[in-house]
Amino acid sequence: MTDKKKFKILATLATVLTVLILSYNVLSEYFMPEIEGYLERRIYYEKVISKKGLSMHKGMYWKEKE
Amino acid sequence: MKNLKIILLITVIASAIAGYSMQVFLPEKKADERIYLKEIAPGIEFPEKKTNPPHYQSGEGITAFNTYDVVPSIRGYAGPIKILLALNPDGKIAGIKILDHKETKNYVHYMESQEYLRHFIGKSINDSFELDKDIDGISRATVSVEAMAKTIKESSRIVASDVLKIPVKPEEAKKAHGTGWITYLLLFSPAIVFYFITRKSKSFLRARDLSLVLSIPVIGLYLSSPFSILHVFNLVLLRPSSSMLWVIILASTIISIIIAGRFYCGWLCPFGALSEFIGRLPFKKWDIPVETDDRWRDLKYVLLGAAAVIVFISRRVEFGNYETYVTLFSFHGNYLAWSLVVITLLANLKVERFWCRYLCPVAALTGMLSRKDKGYPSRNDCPMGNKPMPLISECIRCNRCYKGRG
Repeated sequence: MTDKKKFKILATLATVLTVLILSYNVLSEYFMPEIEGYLERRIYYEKVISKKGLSMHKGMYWKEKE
Repeated sequence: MKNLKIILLITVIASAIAGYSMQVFLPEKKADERIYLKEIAPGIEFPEKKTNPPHYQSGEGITAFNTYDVVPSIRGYAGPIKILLALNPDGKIAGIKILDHKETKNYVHYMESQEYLRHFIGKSINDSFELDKDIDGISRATVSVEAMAKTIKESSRIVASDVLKIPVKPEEAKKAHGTGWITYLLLFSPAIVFYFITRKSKSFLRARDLSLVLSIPVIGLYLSSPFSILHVFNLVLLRPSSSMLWVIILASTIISIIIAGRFYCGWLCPFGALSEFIGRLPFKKWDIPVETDDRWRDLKYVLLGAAAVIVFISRRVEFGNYETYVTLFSFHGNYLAWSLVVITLLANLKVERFWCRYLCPVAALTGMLSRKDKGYPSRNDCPMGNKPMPLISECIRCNRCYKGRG
C-alpha cells in the first residue's frame, strides 16, 4: 500500500469521526432522550403490561393510574 | 481555495442571520419551573409566582426562585447559569437544580450532577460560599463553579433579605478575579517577545521549544484553557464571560493573529506542542503528494464552516465542539471524541502536525485571518510539513525559515 493510500485512509477515518462527533452533539440533545424514553416504555410494556393483555397506550395510562 | 473561503463566509453569515431570526421569531423554550419545583421540594405545593423579587412561597414557608430572575448579570464562562433554588424559612438551602447554562459540557459535567449539587444543601445564606473552603472546587471548571457559587450566594441573600426578612452579613472585600490570567500572560508575553527576537536572530529558536513545553502543563493541564473555537462562537453570539482569563486568552490571541498570524498555533497551543513533539520521534514520515496534501488541508475550513452553521442556527455553542484539545485537557469526552484524540496524536508519527494541518478549527480561523508575509518560504524541516512558498494560512511562524521582508 502506498503512503498516499495510507494517508487517505487515516484522513478519511479522522474526518468520519469528526462528523460523527458533530452529529452526536446535536442528536444526543434532541433525539436520544426521545429514543431512550421510547425504549424504556417499550421494554416496560413488553415485560409487564403486555402480559395483562393491554395495548401500550392503555398500559401506560394504567401505569400512571397505578 | 479563495472560492472555498468566500462560500464558507457566505454560508456562515447566512446561518448567523437564520439563527438570530429564529431567536426572534421562535423564542427559546424556557425550562418549566413548576416541574422542577416538585423535584427540589417534593410534596410541597407552591401557589402562583410572586414578585419583588420573583419567587414562589409555600404555606410551609419554603421559598423557591430562579436565580436568573434575581441576579441576571452574574455570568460563567459562557453566560448566566440559571438555577432553581429552594430556601428554608431559616435561610438554609433546601433544594437546588440547574435549569440552564451555556458552559462547555466537557468541563462542567460534574458540576451538573446531583452528587455535586448536594454539597449546597443545608448551606446558610450567610456562609461564605468560597471555593475549596466551604465548597468543593472542580479542577478544569473553576470559572463555572465560581460563577455558580456567586449566583447562589448573591441571589439567596437578596431573597432572604427581601422575602424572608433574615439579616444578611455584609460581604468582605475580595479579589475580583483569580490569578489564571496572570499565569497565561506570563507565558504569552515572553513567547511573543521571543517570536520577534527569532525573526531577527536564529540563535534563540529553542525559545519556541521551551514555550511549547510549558504550554502543555500550564495552558493545557493547569489552566485547562487552550484557545478554542468555542471562545469565538461565544463572542459572536454576544455571550462574553465574566472571567478575566477568558478575556485575556481571547484578546491576546486576536492581537497575535493581527500581528503574527498563526503565532498561537506555533508557540502556545498545548495540543500543537504534543503533536509536534510526537512528530519529532524518529519514525519515517509518509510521502504525501503536494496536491493531495493541499486538497486535504481545505478540510479544516469545511469543518469550521459546518460547526459554525450548526452553532449559529441552534445557538448552542457546545454543538460545535469537536476539538481534541477540549476533550484532552478537560479529561472528558465520549468514546468518539477520545478516539479522535488518540488517532490525531498517533497520526503525528507519520504525518507532521496532522490535526493542525487538516482538522483544527482554530487553525482554519487563524489561518484565514493571517496577514500576508513573504518572509516564510518554508524549508525541509518545517514542523507543518509545508511545501516551498506555502500559503501564509499554513505557516505557524516557527521562524526557522524566516528570511526577512526583503
